[in-house]
Amino acid sequence: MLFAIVAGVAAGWISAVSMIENYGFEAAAGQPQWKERRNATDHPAAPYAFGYFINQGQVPPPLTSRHFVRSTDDEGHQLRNECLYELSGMMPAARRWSMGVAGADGAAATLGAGEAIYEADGSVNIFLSEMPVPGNRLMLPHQGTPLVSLTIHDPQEGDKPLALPGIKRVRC
Amino acid sequence: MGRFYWMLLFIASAIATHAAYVLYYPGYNFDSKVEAALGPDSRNTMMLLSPAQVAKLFPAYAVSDIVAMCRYDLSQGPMQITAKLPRGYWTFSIFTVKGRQVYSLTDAQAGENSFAVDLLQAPDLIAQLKGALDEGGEAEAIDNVGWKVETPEARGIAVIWVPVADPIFRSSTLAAVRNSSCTRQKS
Repeated sequence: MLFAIVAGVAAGWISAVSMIENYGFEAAAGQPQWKERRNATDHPAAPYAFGYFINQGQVPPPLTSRHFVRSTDDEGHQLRNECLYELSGMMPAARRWSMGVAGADGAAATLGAGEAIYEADGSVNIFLSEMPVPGNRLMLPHQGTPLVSLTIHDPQEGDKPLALPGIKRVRC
Repeated sequence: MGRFYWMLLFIASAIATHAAYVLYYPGYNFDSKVEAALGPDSRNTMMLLSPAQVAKLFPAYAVSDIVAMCRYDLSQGPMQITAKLPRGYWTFSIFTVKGRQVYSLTDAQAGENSFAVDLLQAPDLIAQLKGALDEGGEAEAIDNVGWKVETPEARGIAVIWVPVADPIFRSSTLAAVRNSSCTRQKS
């Protein structure tokens, strides 16, 4: 009897951890490298989407925003701390956007729309690097796989697919 | 029969653990982590967060943004949250201790830059039945001004977020947000 209970507890715990990690997000339409947090509170995955943040001691992004994460470049390779990457493109029309890069310890380097330097056409180039580089830069963490997050606050297209910037590897 | 019994026990244990981990554990875990980040005296007071605290607690905000937060506890009665914010984009959100967002307000929705929100716990079934029998009570003691929010749980957090459009406005924005309050509602 004890074995059945212990095995059941283990199975329940493993399935909960796994679903919190994976089920709260879905691939963004047309840009599968970006995963979007499931926003609807009435979606069956809502507790898992909240749990993803809550279990890390973080406040979930507000429901007026759309939150995306990725840990790979445009070619699908895992982001690496020792490489230089360029995130470039137009940000979706919204009242605000903010980006962050977090590592193993959860501490994040961030960049807000009010701090960024824009190109003449309104697009933005942001370098992801451990070392200083000119222009917009988000510092990659020294440890752990970098996780890039992008939050679009009050987007004009509330529930349609958003065109998001890509991430290219410049050098390693 | 014996095999069926063990399988049933296994499935019941798995479901109970899964549900507890997803639905109940996050609330306790989250509250203690927020308290660790803000300190033990952070209950029922509006706190202006440092950039390090913003980075730790808010994955959706930049550390240059201005964030004020109140860890409310309605077990001793309703609270009132007031703020007078600068012109421009801001949001005000209320979350339960389990991370469920129960209220959201932006500058565009508010139509003005100051607000007062009365926060009280939604009555449970027994309290609703009791309230139907005797008139008056906590909910009716609240002034009928501003907005009133009922949360399903006694504890949670209220968050004011003001992204700074330009660094030169940061100090004036900070001063405005610093005057926000989170106080026990006078009966």
